[in-house]
Amino acid sequence: MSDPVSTPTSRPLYKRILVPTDGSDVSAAAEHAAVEFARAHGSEIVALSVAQPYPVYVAAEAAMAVDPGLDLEALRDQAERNVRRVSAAAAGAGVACTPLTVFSHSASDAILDSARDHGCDLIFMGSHGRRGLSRLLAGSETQKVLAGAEVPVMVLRPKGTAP
Amino acid sequence: MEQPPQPPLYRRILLPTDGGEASQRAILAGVEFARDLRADVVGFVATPAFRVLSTDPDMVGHSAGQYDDASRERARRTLADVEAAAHDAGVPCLLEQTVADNPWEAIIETAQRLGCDLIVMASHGRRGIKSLLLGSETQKVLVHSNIPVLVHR
Repeated sequence: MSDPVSTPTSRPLYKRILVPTDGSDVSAAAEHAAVEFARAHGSEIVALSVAQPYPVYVAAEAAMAVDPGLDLEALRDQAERNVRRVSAAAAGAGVACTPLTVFSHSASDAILDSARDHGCDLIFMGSHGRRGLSRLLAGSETQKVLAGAEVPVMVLRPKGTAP
Repeated sequence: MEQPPQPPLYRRILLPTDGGEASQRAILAGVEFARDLRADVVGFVATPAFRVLSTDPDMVGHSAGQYDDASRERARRTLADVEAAAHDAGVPCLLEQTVADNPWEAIIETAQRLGCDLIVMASHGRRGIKSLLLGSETQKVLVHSNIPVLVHR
């Protein structure tokens, strides 16, 4: 066995990897790395997209013109599209993938809850230099995931981005 | 689907440590991961330079010479822990020690210089507030490192 990576171990150290995605390029880099990792180690993937409903602070008149149902549907559609990108990449690599779309006001809570609920033992996230980790994972949300995660978190910065 | 042969994902893992409990756990996890990957590890300690005004008990009331001796000795003990863990797991191990005012810079510089392709480190250091915040050095490594960082609690 000269090439350990092409021969997945029977019992990988990290069996189920949570891959949060927001559809951004930063996410894409982490998704790609996670799929490569899962293929090499014989892990499976849980792909998560968080649909975050916007808090609505509008005048009563304007609020009457808003159809909140439409908005939520659009958010869910986008979240499902994001997750499908990961599922497709996983399928292409022969990696098992569970797609997951959740509504939450807090991306970090959704990530931590999903990791727990689905028994993930590793979380893959993309970082984005000084501006904070990608939009989904910006600023304090990232801190909360990294500080609150009960499992290790793999943080990747896409190549070519300056800090 | 036929897959082309893949190069190993990670060949050399940097294990920065400050000797604290969180670092110890990260080292054990990093070594175990290295064994799985058949990678080797680099144990690394960055010691802050001596300062006359400091809240570090090792610096207060000591001369620069005493401090240097004390911090070198502590670094040696810390690195011996990494070496022992690697030895037990049958993982090839290098040890590195440096004096640096900014440990995060030294961590990234060492990872690059020694060709590490992964950094495994704890989410907080010896002085960190456990479970509340990400350690400041870890935070800076995450922001500045082009090499993936596996963060352990």
